[in-house]
Amino acid sequence: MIFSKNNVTDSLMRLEQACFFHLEKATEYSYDYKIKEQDYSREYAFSEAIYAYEKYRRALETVVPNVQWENNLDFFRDNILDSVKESNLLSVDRFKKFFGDYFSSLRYEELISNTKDQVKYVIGDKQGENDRTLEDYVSEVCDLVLIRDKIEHFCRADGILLQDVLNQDGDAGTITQFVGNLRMELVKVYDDYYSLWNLFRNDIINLRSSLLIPFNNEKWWFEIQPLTSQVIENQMSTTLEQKKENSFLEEMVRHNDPEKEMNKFDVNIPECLEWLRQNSAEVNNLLGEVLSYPDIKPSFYVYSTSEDKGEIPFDRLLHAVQMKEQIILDLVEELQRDKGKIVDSDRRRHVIATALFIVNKKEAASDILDKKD
Amino acid sequence: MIKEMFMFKLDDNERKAFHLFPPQWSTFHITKHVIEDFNSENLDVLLGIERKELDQLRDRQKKEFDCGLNKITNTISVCNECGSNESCFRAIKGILDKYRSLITHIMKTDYNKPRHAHTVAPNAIRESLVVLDGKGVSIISKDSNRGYNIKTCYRSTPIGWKKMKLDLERIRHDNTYYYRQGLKTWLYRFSGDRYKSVEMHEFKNWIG
Repeated sequence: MIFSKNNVTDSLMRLEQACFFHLEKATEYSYDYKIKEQDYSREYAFSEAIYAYEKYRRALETVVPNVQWENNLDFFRDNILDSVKESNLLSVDRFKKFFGDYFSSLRYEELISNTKDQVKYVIGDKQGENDRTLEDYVSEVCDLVLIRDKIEHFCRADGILLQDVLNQDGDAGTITQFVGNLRMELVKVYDDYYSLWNLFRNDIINLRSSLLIPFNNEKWWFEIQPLTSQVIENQMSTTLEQKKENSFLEEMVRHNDPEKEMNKFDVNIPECLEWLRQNSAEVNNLLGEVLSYPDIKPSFYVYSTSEDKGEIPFDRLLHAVQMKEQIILDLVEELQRDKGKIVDSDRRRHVIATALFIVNKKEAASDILDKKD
Repeated sequence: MIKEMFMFKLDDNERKAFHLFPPQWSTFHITKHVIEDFNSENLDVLLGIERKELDQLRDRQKKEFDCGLNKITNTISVCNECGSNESCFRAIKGILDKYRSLITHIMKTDYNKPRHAHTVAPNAIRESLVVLDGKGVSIISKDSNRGYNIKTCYRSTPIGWKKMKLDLERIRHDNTYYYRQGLKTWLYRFSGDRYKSVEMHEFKNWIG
């Protein structure tokens, strides 16, 4: 049989099968006394069962009501709750500990950042040395998106997690706040990786369709728009323009680094510039604005369009950036204070050093490169 | 170079499949999927090999052969350019034999409860055959004029297990979770427009 891509019945059957599977696992694990105390597999199994139930419930909102499906939904809910109540191995504290780890924003950041690095490696692999291709990352990216979907469900006041599972000792406010905070931190991380979601936009839209997510009910799912030729054209022209700008700025960073500190520490300057511009709208605007100044623009134009790169007015460029250096120094301070923004310490030091070289703070940049966390 | 042919039943026809494993392919795949196990596939359990034995072998690869494979740069070029590839190949040969037997077994038994897909991958001209077994092992082979050439064999792991500080030991040894993940992985991939064609057999076995 040819795989049908948008069949509602197939999707519902899959979601229902997932409920059966995860309910069976949660029930099996709830009575498994061989699971060691330090092992949180039981909590994992239950969280998967609850999520499977919530996905099925959401999907059913989009179809014409059907008694059989509604009965199944009730069956799943009752059985999940019975298993939770009957098992003396589960507790609110254990669930909280599990969710604290599972939905940790640091972990989420690391997972996404690793995937992004690998995707970038595959994209840059012109020789085809890597045996993985972009489609091999579709599942990973979809799973990363689903971690956000899961926390969105888990913090819903009418979801079974908050309403029934965790609300056992009556301290609903604290639990709601706990899950709400986890969600807030996770969403911040998710928002930082728009470029990755954008690259896999069609896959995410397919995932959205297969989950039968009601149109515009959960807005974040619909922030990713289908790829049209106009969007491709706009994106390509923006990317190309920014690449040229970054190459120009790289020359400035190298000019401000006469001791070649960045080379010694193997800093990938284009990548750091890209991070700075993608993750700080203020820095991105500042750099874009400076390059458009009438006394700088002509040399940038020559640099980016002709073989002969021409002269770069380093002094003028530096002066223009230094006029608003506080924007860059604020970002540096934020990166030093909030280490969760870039989890990998080497990467963080490289980005900070690049920012400092842009505003010609040579000593501070060298100190950062020398220093280990 | 490992060369071996076996017959298997596919959609009511007897077909040929080939293990054509050059040493570099073998060292790369065995290190990535079994010895170092970058993605926590736990294939050692299915192959009946002690983890301790694999850890000792990994130590040897690093110390004696100066192995440069790591999670980010896990490309076959590392093995292609390695001066110790022959020695490394001899060291991993026992594991390779078990890995090969697992592939043969899965391909031959798919007929009992077919869960395979004929696909044309992006940038490919010829058909690929994807087989997913009940323990979540995926085997990809490519059709050639004479039969199917085995390309790879691995298990997909849920990303939700990775980088967890808490222990998930029971789950990590539960093959049914690997199977669910394998199923999800292929459905995500197939539901997009990336693959030029996808024909699944038997469809009911891909549902759940």
